[in-house]
Amino acid sequence: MRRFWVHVLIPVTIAGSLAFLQRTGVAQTEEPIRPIPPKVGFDSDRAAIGERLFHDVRLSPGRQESCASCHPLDHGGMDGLPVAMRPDGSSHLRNTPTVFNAALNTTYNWDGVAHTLESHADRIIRKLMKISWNEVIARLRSDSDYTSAFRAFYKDGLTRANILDALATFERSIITPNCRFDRFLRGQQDTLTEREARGYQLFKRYGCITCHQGINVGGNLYQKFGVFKDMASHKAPIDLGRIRITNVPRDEEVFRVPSLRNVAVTAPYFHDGREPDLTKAVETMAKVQLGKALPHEHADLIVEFLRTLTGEFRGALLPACTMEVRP
Amino acid sequence: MIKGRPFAIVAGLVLLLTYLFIESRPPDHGVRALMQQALQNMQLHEAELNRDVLMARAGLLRNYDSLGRSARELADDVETLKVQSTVLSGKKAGVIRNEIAALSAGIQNKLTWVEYLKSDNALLRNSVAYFNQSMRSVGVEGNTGRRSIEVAKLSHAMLQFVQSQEPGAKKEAQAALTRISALSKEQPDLKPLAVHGQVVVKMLASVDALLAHVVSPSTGDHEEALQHAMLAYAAEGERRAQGFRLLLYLVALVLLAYVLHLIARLRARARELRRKEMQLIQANKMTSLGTLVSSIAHEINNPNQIVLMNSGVLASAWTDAAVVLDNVRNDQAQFSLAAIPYCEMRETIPQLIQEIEDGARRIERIVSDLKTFARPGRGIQERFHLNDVVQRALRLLTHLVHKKTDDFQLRLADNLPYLEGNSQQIEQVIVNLVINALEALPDRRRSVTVTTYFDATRRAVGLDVQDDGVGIAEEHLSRLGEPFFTTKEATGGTGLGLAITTTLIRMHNGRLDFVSTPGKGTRARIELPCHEQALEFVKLERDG
Repeated sequence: MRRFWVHVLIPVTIAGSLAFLQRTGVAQTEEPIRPIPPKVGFDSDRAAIGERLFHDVRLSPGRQESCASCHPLDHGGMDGLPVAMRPDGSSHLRNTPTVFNAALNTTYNWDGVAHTLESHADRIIRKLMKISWNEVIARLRSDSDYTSAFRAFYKDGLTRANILDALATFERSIITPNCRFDRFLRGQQDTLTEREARGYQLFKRYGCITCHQGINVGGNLYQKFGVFKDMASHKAPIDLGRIRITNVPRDEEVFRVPSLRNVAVTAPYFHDGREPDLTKAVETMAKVQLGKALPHEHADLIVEFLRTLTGEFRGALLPACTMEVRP
Repeated sequence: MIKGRPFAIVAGLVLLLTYLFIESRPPDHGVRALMQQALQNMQLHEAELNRDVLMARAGLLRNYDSLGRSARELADDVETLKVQSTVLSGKKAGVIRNEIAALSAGIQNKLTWVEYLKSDNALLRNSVAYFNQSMRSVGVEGNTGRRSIEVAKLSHAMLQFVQSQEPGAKKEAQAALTRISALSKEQPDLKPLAVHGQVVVKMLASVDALLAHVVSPSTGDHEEALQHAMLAYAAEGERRAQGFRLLLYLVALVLLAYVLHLIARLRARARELRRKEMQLIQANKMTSLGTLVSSIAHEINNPNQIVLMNSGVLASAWTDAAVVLDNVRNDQAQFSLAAIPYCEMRETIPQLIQEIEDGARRIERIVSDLKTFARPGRGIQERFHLNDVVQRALRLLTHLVHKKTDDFQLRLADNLPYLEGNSQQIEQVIVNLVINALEALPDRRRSVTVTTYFDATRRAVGLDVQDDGVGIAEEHLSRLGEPFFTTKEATGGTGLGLAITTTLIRMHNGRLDFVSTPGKGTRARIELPCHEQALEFVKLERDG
């Protein structure tokens, strides 16, 4: 019996401990970017209501625009315009971020004014659509499909809070898992070409990774736009960024670091959409954020890596967003 | 009214007890548990945040996702505390809300600092990397006098500064950077060294200051204060609940006392009812006894009248016969009557006849008394004054009174209302009571007092006969009205006197009772109700 202990159990225990240590060792050298889980849990009934609302033009005063007008799901989740166009035809100050994977960001809008998807949707309806909640609720009440669906899946039926919850639930459901880079992170080393893998190494080595990290490759911190160079565009009115929210001097020209997931299909780039070309955008970032002129070859390699971040939505790779002027 | 009231009182007390029970529960228990939970979560999430911030500074944190998560959870915890605290009420709740507001502000500041720290730390890390990289490339390449000296100096100064960050070290590093910056105008490859060096100096100070803010225990103080405020709130609530528990106990005692009181009243009522029932049974017994007695009395009276009549005839016959028999004795020597010599019988027979007559008379009296007891006729109904009747009765008893006592007092009240009924029967009652009183006296020094009075509340005229006599044994008191109950058998009492008295008083709708202390005396009291008219009459007289 004693022999059993000495010869079997002790080695097994040591092996187990070693395996554990090895695992934690792996955890320590873990990549700064984490893959999106292939499946996320959400309430599919509520998400279905949310999807209908997302495409419903009754959320705009003139019954012309819906959430999907600026965030078309078949075009990378954003409109492809340098800056968004308001329902009244005037230009918004900033570029539309994609709605895909929005749930993985910690804050919303370029200045981080909204901390939840619900408050973001609320702001859009009140400030961008410029429609009152009473009007929205009255319009939706007249639709028996909505009233019965809300009654079925929400205790208190059709209310402002439940409309926002349905929209947010839908937004939480539209993530784009399974991009090639995520598969690489999960251990399929051969998923990336040699050039793409080198691009990733350069991405890390140049320090892009210090801001564009985490599950959403960004989207979880703020940074000054133009650390080493004043980036105020002289063409457009100067956008002061986050200072408009916080009133703290150090937040001048500070913006939320955007997620780089699906970056290849969500041109143009930067908060004011000034750059339609991804390679040029990478070079600009290196120059103004890192104080470094990137060799052209390196910028190309990094862009090749960035293209591996394009994920799948409903089983198909996200199609590229072509710039088009809406009718 | 009387029937409903105890029920209403009991129902009221029960309602009060229910209210007190509800109030005596510890208040807002669920809310406080939720808040306690939120506070604990907050401490946990803050610890996580602090850990991750320190790891980020040390370059061990792979990404900022966990910081974002902790921030969101902290915001949720604060929200939970805020929402739950609105339910709380009372003076201490204000303190709790103030503490939560302070804590919320503290957390808000902390999260802002964390955001700045993330931004600055990112810049710092990059610039440190670039600085080292530039240092390597510059160091390997250059070897031309001043340039390599300045680079070495910068390298040294920066190393010093990164290690200690003292004002001197910072100044030295900045000076070295300024010199390199000046040199870089001619030698542009030095430029990154100057630029990133400046970022490092600037950001390192900023990051460490922010780090100090973030991990400072300021929110911990608020958390502790909130914890105390919540404990104080709970203690206050508990005190209040304890007060209500005490009240609950007291009201329960009152309820118990009231129920006991009701039970006592019920028992008294039951006793009274039983007594009334006994009286009723007694009265029925008397009535049937009366019927029986009157028929027997009639049957006895007829033969007795013959005996009485015949004894008279027999007496006068004996008077005549005695003359003849005397002559016979004178002629002849001796002869006997009923085996007794005549000379002896000559004296005895008149005595025998007298005894027959006395016996018959006694029978006659008893029968007459029995008749009076059984069927006292209502007789004539008249208005009379009690005082007059008392005086009439006493005139009859003057002899007996003088024989029995030296201390007889009569206290007659003025202005008594008149009574209606049969005054002779009342006179008989008074005679009976006074005779009883007199006969109870063991010697002449004891007193008898007769008092009349008017009791306005009971609308009755009363008479007390108070004696200092031997008193009545307690066990006899209840039997006084029974016919043939007597303690004076030896002296020839028939046991009908008080029975008749009781009957007569009852016929006048009056009351008769006795209060007696054995050895000290007895008070007999009769009360006779007055008529309305009589009362008005008295009032008129009094008013003048």
